[in-house]
Amino acid sequence: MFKRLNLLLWFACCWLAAATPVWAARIELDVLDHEGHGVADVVVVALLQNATATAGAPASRSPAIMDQAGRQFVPHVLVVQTGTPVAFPNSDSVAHQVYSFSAAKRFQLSLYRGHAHPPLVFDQPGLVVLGCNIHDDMLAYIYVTPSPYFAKTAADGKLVLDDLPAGNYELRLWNPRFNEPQAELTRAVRLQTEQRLALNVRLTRALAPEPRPKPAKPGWNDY
Amino acid sequence: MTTDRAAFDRQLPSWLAAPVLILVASVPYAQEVKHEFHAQIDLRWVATDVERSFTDGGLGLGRFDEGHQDLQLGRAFLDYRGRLAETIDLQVTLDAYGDADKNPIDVSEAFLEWRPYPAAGWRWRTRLGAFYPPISLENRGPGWQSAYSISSSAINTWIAEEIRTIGAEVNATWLGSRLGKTVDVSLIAAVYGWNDPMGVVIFERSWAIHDRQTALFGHLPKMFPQGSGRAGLELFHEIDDRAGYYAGVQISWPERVVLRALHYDNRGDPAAFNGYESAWLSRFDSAGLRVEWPSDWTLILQWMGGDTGVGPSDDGRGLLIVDYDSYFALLSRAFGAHRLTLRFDDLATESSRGAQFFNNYQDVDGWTLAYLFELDDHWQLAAEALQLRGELAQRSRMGLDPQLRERTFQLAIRYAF
Repeated sequence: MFKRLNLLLWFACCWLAAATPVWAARIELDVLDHEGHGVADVVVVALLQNATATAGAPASRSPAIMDQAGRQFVPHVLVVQTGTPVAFPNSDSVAHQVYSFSAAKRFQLSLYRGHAHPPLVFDQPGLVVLGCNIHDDMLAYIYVTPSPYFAKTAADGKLVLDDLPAGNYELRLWNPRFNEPQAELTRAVRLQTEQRLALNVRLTRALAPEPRPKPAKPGWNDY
Repeated sequence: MTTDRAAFDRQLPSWLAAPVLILVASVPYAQEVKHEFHAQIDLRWVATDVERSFTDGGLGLGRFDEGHQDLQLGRAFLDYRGRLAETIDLQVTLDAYGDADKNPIDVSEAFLEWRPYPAAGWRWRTRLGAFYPPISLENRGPGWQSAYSISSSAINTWIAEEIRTIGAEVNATWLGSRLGKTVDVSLIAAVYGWNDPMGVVIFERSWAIHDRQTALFGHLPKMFPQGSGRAGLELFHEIDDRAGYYAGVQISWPERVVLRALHYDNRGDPAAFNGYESAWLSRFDSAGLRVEWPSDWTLILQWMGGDTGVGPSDDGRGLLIVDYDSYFALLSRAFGAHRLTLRFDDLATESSRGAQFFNNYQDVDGWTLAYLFELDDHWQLAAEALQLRGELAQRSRMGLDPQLRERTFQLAIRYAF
C-alpha cells in the first residue's frame, strides 16, 4: 500500500516537474538591424521587476569559459549571471596576459599558457571589457547580469527565453556593435502565465562593422 | 679632438651591445624564460634592367642590377624573442643578404622592451636598444618584413636604409577601447644617438624602393667618391654628441584603423665631422593611415616630408640642403592564403641650398604589383613586379641620362621555421 503511495507521489512529482513549463511564459525575440537583417550575438536579459531580493542566485556553479584561440578571445561576447566563475584557458601556443579595468571586475592574469589560473568569480553586475597586454587587438566583453534569464541571439538574430515566471520584466539588449543613442536597448514587457510573447526589436542606426578575424601570425610586431 | 671622437664613436655601439649580451648569457639561468625563434631563408630569381644598383656603387634605385640578377639570396634572417621576466622582452634580429656588406651576418635590431601591466586605463611601454621608430605601417612581419609585398615603399625603404633608434623610447597608451570608448591613443617619445650620418643616402641617391635593411655594423657603398678613409657609408655613428628625438601620436581603433603622426629631428650639427663621416641635420614629419576592412581589404597611406643638410653654415642648417617628400597608397586584398597588393609611390627630392655644388633632383613614380602565397606554415611564394619612371638629375654626374626607367621582376621562395 505504502509502496503504491510512494509510486503515486513519485509520478505526481514527475508530473509537476514536467508541467512547470506549461505554466511558465516564453519570449520569442527577433533582433533586426536598421535594414531588417537579423543581428547575431546580441545579449538579451529579462530582469524580473519587483522580484524578491533572494531570487537570482545562480543555480549552477560550473564555470563559464572565455577561451583564447588564434590570438582572439572566444567568444567575443559572453553573458553570465552575477556570481558565476569564469575560466580563461589559453589554447594558443603564445602566452597571453589578460586584464580588465572595468568597475564590475578589475583583474590581471599574469602571463600564461594553458590553464594556469583558476576561474575568477564575477560577483558584480556590469560590463567587463577584456584586453591582452601582449596583443592589443584582442578584445572581448563579459556582460554580468543579476538575472538568471538571459541568452544571446543566434546567427539569424532569433532568440528564445523560456521558463519565465509570470510578471513584469524589463528586457535589456546589448551588443558592442550597437550605435543606438543609448548603450542598451530596453523594453518593458508583462508576461502572463503560459503566455508566448513574440517580439521584434529593430535598431534605428547601422551597426558598427564586425570585428575582423585576426590571422594567427606569430612573430608579427605591433609597432 | 676629431680623432678622439672617431675612437669614441667606434666604441659606443659595442658598449650598447654589452648589456644585451649579458642578458642573452643570463637567459639560460632565468626561470620560466620563453624563447621564440623565427628564421627565414629567401631565395630569389631576379630579372631587372637596372644598370648599376646603389648596392654596387651606382645610382640605380633597385637593389639588384644587370650584373646581379637571376638566382640571388634575397635574405636570411633570424628573429629571436625571449621573455627575460614577466614584463621584459628581448628581441634580436640577425640578418644576411649575401652581398658585399662588411659583415656576412649582422644585427639589424636588438632591444629590450619593458611592458608593465596596464593600470587605470594606461599602459606604458619602454624600448631600450636599437630598433625601428614606429613609422612604417607595412613592415609588420618578423624581421621587419613587409606583410604585403617583397619591396617596401620608398618611405619605409629609406627607414630601413638609414634610420634606427639607438636609444630609448617611451610609449604611453590610453586604452580607451577597454574603458568603453572606441579608440586607443598612444603618445610616443624617444631620445637617441648614433644616427648622425643619416641623410647622406637620400642626399646622394634620393629615394629608392627595395627590401634591403642596413645592419647596425654594416655599410652601403659610396655612390660618389669622397675623401673618407672608410670603404663605405656607415650610418650608425655618433659624431656631434647631440642627442636626437622624435615625438608622435597614434590613434587606433583596434583591429581596424591605425592613424599615426610623428616628428623626427636627429639634431645633427652639420658642421661636425669625425674624420670619416659628417653629421647631417635631418628632420622630417610623417603621417600614416592603415584601414583593414572585415572583407580582407587593407588600405595604407603614408606620407613623409623633411630636409637634410650638411656642412658649416651661419644658420646651422647646413651648406647643402636637400628637401625630400614621398607618399604612397597601397591597396591589398587577401584571398585565403593568397594576397594581392598594388602600390603607387611618389618619390621627390630637390636641392634647396647649394645646388651649384651638388644638384639633387628626383621626380619618380613607382608602381609595385605583388602576389604572396602561403603554401603552408613554412613555405611562402612571392612574386613582385616593380617599375620606376621619372627624373633623377644626379645621374648626369655619372654620364647617364637623367630620365630613369627601371623595371624589376622578382620571384621569391621563402622557407621559415
